[in-house]
Amino acid sequence: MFDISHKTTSTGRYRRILFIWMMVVIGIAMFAATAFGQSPTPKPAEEEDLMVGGYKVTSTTEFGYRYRSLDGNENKYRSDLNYKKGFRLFDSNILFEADSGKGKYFDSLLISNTGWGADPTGFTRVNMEKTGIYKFNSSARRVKYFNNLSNHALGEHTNNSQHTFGDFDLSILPQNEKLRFNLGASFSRMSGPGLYTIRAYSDEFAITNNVRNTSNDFRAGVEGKLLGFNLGLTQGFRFFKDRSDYVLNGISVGNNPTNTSVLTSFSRIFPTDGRAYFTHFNAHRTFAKKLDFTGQFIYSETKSKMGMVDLFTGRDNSNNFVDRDRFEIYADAKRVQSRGDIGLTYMVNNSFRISNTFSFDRFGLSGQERLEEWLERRNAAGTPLALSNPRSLASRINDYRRFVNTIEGDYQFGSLASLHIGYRFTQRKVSVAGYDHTLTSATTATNPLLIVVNEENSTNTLIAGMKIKPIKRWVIFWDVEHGTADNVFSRVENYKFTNVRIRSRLTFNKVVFNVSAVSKDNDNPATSYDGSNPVLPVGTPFGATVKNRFYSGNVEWKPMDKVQVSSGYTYHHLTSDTAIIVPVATGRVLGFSQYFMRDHYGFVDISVKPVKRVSLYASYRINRDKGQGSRFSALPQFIITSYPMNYTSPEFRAAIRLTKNVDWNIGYQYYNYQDSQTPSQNYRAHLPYTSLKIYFGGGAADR
Amino acid sequence: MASARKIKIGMLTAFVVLALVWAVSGTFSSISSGTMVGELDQSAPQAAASADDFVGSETCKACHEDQFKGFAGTKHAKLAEVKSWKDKAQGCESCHGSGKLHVEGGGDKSKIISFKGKNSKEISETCLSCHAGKESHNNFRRGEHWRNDVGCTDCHTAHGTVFKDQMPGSMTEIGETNRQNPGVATTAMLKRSEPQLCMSCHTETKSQFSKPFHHKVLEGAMTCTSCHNAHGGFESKQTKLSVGADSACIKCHGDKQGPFTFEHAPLKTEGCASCHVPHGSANPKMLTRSSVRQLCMECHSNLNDAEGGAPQAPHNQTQTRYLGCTICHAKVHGSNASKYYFR
Repeated sequence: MFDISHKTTSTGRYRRILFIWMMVVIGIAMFAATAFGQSPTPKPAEEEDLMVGGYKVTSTTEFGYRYRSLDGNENKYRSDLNYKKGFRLFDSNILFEADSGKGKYFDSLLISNTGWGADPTGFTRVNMEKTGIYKFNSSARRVKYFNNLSNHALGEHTNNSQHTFGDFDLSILPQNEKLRFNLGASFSRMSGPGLYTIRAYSDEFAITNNVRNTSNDFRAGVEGKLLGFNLGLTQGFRFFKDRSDYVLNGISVGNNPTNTSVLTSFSRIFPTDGRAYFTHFNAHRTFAKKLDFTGQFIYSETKSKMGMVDLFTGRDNSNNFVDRDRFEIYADAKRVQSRGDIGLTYMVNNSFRISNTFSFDRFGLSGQERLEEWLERRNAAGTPLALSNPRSLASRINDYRRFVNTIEGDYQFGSLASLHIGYRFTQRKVSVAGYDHTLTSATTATNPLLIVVNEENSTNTLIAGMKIKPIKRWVIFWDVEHGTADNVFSRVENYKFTNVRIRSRLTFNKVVFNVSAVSKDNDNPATSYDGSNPVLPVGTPFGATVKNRFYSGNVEWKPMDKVQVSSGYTYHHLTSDTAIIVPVATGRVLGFSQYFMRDHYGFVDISVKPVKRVSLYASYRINRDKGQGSRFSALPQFIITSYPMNYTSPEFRAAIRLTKNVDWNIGYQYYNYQDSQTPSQNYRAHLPYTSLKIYFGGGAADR
Repeated sequence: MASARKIKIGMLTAFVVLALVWAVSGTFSSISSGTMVGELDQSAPQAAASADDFVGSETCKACHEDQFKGFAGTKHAKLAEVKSWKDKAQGCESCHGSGKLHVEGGGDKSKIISFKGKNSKEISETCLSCHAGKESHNNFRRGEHWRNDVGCTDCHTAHGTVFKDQMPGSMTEIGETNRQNPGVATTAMLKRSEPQLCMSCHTETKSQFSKPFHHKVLEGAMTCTSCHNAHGGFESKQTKLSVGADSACIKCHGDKQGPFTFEHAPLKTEGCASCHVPHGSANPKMLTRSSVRQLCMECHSNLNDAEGGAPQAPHNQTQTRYLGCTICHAKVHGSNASKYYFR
């Protein structure tokens, strides 16, 4: 049952204590029953290999039970984590490897599973290969997606759906240079209830939304070598289907408290079918060990077709009875895209290379919509009003064209340093044309309303970077991009941007230090240009700036064989300041939008094996965003926001070796989430668990 | 679309012609010329080496037993069984060159190719001599990693993954490569399992994947390479394309693919990342701003009406019901039934 209400769960301390006590008792009993009967000295690994039909087997399976105790906002907890109590397959792997290296049907087969049972995210992967004959990779995943947040869309956009999707890829003759075949298929299924909003009679109503969509993809391709070229051709198809619906159960008065609109019933169906196919051709060749060429061309065609029927009853915002308000809408759209890329690298000598990459991308989208409405109403006194039957047509054609060319050179100074420098030019043109035509109104200057938008821009960017090895164990990377970026629709003028990244990696035998700093500055020095905007005269400065900084470091330390320590810290500093137009009361005024992030993230992971039979793991993770601090605005046109929150998650796990094949695990994970939203979304979750981990075959003995 | 049909027919014809040429040119037989990639003289560093100069990996084993043991389990070692590789240098000598002089010299290091002291690009060139033929690797020489001198062996190990001692790990985040996960790294001969490997340089991403809303990379449901091609590609951030020329996001979020009669322009022209933080965020729906109206108004302030314009006066921002734009404009990615994205 889909729950949209805010829930608070009692602490349940008694149940937690009982559960932990039971875990300890069961574990001790198992330990006593099995551990002392085992030989303390394992045999060498080679002698312990499990052989099945000529295959060496390496396998682990961990399964167990997780308990959950929750204080606070369950909806937020489930939106973030969604771990439930119950049995769970924590982790399972089984690897078959042909002992001789060559098996009858496969040389190696690996099956991995994680997260099935009471987990929100589960996956199964299968990798199977017979060298020289085929290679098969597959991945099937299931995500239980829950989203119910009071601070998003007034809590009226929620989800409790399940998304199952997978990919299956088979490569035939994978090592053959001359000819290889590839076959692939993917699927996606999404279903489940939720809430969504519809708009009617100057009001908004939350309606139950049953999501149900599927897509199936198929791919077939061939790769190989011809006339010295490595060539590849892939043909793919996707079939998409949406059979979601909306239903109102009961009466809804909507969000607008000042009008009379009420829905007594509502239903919407909008069966949508989509189809996409694409052809992808690629070629590669290195000429005379000097010139490396790579090219690709992609052509794709995507279509969708939809028929929508909406049916309302209730009262409108003029207090009329709505006996029937029926919309029928038919729409179809088609996008045709072609893009080509060519990359060339000329190796001047062993140290110096010049590369040029050229890309061309163009797509056209055409869509049309036909709408008809039948509205039957009575006034408040019950007198029937004339049937309203508006009809309209609309059409849109989008055309997008983009060229990008990047030229760069890289130079190698022995093994101690390398340098690259480059320049990128982009030219883009976007146009939208169309019309909106109300068929039941007289033709006027604005009916049909013609729509024409053209935007064209070009950008220039300088690229440079270097890798330096001051000493053998220390590597420093830095790179810079400076120039303009195109955001035609987002903010009309180009952004001036400067991105800088510096990374350092220092490696010793037992410890590795990583440090990085990333800086991204975006400055949009726009001026107002919309003459129809009464708020600002054309040409008024109207810019946006975004400053993004990451400072990060971590250390991995292995002081001895049985101890591993990993720790890190990241600080993310983001400040965004944008001039905006804000509707306030009956007018619009100039305001600003500021957004802040001051996020500190740290973690420590420690794994130790104090004695042969016991391994311990402890971890602490903290994410604290201080957001906007004391910045506050009392005026509606000055919007200052952030998402201050505190998210901590300590974790502990002990693995006790009962036999050479069985470990008993106990663990505990705690999540503490706090933010400053209204209403509160805080929660604390206790997740103790116990599990058995069973080992077969290779590796079991020398653990 | 007559032109589209012509292109389709042209592509199909080209495919058939190529297939015929392939068949006629003796595709299945051994071909010895053409590209430098993948040929014996490229993979064998001593260009003048003859077949007699190769001693075989078993000979190397006598002194380099640890390396041989690791290598023997790799896909590289199994190439000896593949018919099309029979006439090429195999095993250790496919990368290190012919070993006869090295053996006769009592292990003289100057008589064999050693990668110690070579820079990343030189090492990568050796790998690319065989691996450049596949589409996913073809653009490595122009990719971000190449540009920054990150080579193949910074992530992969040619001698096979060495399993570390098993240590317990988190119950929610997948662990480091060990016997608990025997194939996570070995499938691509990676030095470490994938998220940890990528995050060892891209350290800042771990904090993003630890935010309340994030793609389930640390949990193992997807990997960095689900969206990125570590070997390059033509997209910025080395992202992959899906379903032809759509963004990587569309592979799983198929309901956003469209096409829509009324398509929200940023969806295809600017990309999903213009509104969403792809790795993770504390903001609902992984948005770049914590407030939806703020995100919308930052663009819808300086657009003319045909482009969407700025919100008109009725959207009074002192009223709660107008603070969430998507409550009315619910189909914000695109709509087939409303130019205002109402339905």
